[in-house]
Amino acid sequence: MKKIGIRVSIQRGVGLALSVAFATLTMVAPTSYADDSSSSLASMVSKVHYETLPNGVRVILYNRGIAPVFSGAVVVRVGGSDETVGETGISHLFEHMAFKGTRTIGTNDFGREQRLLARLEELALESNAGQNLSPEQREEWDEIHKDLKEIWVSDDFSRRYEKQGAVGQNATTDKEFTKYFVDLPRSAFEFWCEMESDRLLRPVMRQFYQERDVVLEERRMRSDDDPGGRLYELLLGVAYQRHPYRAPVIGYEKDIRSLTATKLEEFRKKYYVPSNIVVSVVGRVDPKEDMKVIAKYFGALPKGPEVVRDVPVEGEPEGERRATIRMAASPQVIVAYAKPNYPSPDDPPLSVAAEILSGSKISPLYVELVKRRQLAAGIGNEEGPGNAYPNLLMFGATVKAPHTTDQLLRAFDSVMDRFRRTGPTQEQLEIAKRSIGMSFLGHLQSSQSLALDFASSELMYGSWKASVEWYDKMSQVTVEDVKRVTQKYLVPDRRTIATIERNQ
Amino acid sequence: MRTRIFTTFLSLFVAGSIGCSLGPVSSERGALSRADEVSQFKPIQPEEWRLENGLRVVYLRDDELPLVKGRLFIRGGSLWGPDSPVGAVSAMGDQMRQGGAGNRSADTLDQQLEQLAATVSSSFSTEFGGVSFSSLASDLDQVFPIFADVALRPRFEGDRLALWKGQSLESIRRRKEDPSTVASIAFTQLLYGDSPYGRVSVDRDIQSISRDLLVSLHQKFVKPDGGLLVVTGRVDRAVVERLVEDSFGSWKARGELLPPAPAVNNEPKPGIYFIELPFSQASVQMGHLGVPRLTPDYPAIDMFNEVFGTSGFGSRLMQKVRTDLGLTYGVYGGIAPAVVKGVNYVFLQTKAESVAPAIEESIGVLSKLQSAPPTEEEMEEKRTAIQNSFVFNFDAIDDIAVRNARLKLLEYPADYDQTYLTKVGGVTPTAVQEVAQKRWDPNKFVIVVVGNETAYQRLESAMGDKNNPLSPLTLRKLRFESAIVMP
Repeated sequence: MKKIGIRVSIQRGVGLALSVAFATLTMVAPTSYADDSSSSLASMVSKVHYETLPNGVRVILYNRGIAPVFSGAVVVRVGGSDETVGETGISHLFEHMAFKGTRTIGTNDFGREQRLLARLEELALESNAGQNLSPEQREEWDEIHKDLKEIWVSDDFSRRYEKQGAVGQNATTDKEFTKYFVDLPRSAFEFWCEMESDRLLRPVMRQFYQERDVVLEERRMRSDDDPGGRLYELLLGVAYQRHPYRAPVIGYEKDIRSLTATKLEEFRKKYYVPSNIVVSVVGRVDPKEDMKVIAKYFGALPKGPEVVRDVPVEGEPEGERRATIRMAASPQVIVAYAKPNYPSPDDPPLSVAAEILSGSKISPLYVELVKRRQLAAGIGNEEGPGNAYPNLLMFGATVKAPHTTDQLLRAFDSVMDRFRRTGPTQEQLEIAKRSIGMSFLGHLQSSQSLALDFASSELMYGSWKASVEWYDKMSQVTVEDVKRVTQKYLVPDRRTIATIERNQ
Repeated sequence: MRTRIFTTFLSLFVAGSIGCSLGPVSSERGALSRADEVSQFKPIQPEEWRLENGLRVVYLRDDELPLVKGRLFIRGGSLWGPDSPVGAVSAMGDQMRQGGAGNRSADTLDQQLEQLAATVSSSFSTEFGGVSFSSLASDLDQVFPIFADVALRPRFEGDRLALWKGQSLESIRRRKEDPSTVASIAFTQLLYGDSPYGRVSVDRDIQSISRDLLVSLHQKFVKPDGGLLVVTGRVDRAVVERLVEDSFGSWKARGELLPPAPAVNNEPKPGIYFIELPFSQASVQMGHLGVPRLTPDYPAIDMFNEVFGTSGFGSRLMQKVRTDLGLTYGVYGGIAPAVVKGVNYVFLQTKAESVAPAIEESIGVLSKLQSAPPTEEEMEEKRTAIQNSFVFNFDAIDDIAVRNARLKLLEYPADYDQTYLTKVGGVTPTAVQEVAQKRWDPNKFVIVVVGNETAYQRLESAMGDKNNPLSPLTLRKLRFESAIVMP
């Protein structure tokens, strides 16, 4: 789940991929990457193995790295933006449940367990998802759990992975995707295929009601007890009036409490279908041999109906919105501008504008608010909350005492006004474009982030190469482009301002 | 769009030029099974040399990206710093980079690094400090001298120190808004007391840090003796040798190392320390002082940690407190060695209503390991996990070089990596039980709880029950401002 972060210092980098930017940036360091780009690109495309299994599961393999290890990712195109009020948080809770095992993992008597779970579900459905159990029901509920405890093998799924040498075994859910990922030695490749396909095909909703409590704890930690988390939840709830981006991915507490194992099973049938899943492996891979194994396991998933999405349209913003939480916390501000999402041609120049404005220690917002006037302790930007629908360019800042959010916002506006009028300089543009590229260079050395990115690009844009197209557009952004999108989108009428004000 | 896309995209450009330099291509390894590929893997070893002034250099070529990274590690830190103002050494570390260096003012330094799209950063903590850089290979001749200036010739400009002070004061002001920060500060203070290990900076410390102090601390700590420089990336050894000699060759050795780290003399008072703040969850940090690094039983300690609470879902703590009981999102515990005395810890957070059972259950997991050894099956699971995942210490060139440097800096035996798996493989279930018995004593637990009124009441009433294992402990409230007011 993305959350706006206040970056007092920002990790910087160079855009080696930014051949276009490099060619024009001559004031400091003439570099010679311009020739590399197109041939490297063609070569890379030929090295990525892409294949669609007969059932519709798409597979992406890419060989890199120095050790016999790989990062495996299974990404499903489902997340918060597919949810409706009443069932918010279901994608995320399902992600938790996907670690509970299958018919053969996590149990020592599936036949008996199945009967007990069925009865448990009957009780849940009779009692408002287990929330209003009568004393008799409660007694039976506890009795069933006592029996189940004898059958369950806790965390069997995760432990089997760990025994194989798994590192970084985890999953995340955001507005658009549920991503399951793990790093393993190559000796465990077939094991990985077996485990991942088994949990897609035959998951068992065991320990569901305990896990629902775990998620409620997670919600307390991430949202209720974290001022930044509360502010972000408020912001989205105000910036979006109709679109599901308005609801938190983790779900509203009331909704989480009302979820049942039965609802999760229906959810799985709808979204966990082959055409909605991409399998991606980066690291030591051998496409010819490995595809046989992948086909054997992931090819076994039965075809399902295509996912049909009927998501309410938000519409254009109708003027500035403001919202404030008064709480026992220091002031913070998020200013969020409504913008089109990629593939709109206005998306790449807005990313460049954001980098110029607040991406570095020489950015106008940093220089003015943090360094010169010291109204903020830090400032940063982020695009989100998702990418499949019109989204937001957000600037977040922590107010530095004794200053107020009003003072900070006035200074923010004067920087933005000036930037809208003048646009960026050529030098600012080139630095930003190089910097955008380099900022993420570190990810390249992580097979895991590559695997996840291949898969999510494929699912969102129908091609993992969509990123190339985005990049080409970004590297061609001009001073005029930045000025145009700044004047069009970074205007008060398109924004939502959310603040925390101290109430004591 | 940005975050997600970039990763994918950049790879496209680099891949073409790297294919040949990576591991064996598929045709060459066609005869090997996947398991053989792993068992026959030999990690590469970095090259190492030493300058006349004693500075060690660790180098590994990495052709995957047209980048070069460097890190200078320096022995020294707040353990040998002034008692007051607290935070001065860390300020010095930060300001080496932020306050300008050599003939570049702070603003010029920022501007030039942006233009080069390079990073240089610096920091000092308790035992070590250092400076690092990341640069395009083609810009290395320009970035390396800046990196050396930051290490050797920082300017410590006054307005940047003032900016740092303002930001630090703001961050201190916000401590109370994050329950785990509060718990962690209080836990550290209670365990280590008024010593370099336990002191926490507050407003008056920050305000009294002067430029002169930064200059003298830099003078004191930044020396080649005991230092180590790691360079990795797409660069020839000859180039690195030249750059290092040009920039660090004339750096004068002092011929003296720092004295051993100061002793830990604090004797923490066991009990439950409650800090009342209006959070819906109670954050708990509990444990007692622990062991130095590399005690003779370190392989058994590592196995104990895996079984008890550092291995995520595979750990007993997680299985019991999260999976079986649904009391927490995260619970972790183990023995964390440090230079003199580390910490034996259990950390968790839970809703106010369940604070007492969450603490009891966690201590219960420890008690169980004290009273009975883990099963052979459990041992086998953990041993295999450690053995199978060991390869991940060697899956990235930069990580290999940095790991190598860290082992040297911490003075681990030269055969540490070569003997580790054999040692872990020889740990018996009884040895793990002995770690639980000899290295842990729940009666000495300092238990810090940050939570609301409900959490306090629940603890109070649980402790009122004579059968409750927490009942012998004392429960007292602590006041937390920017740190706890020491009892």
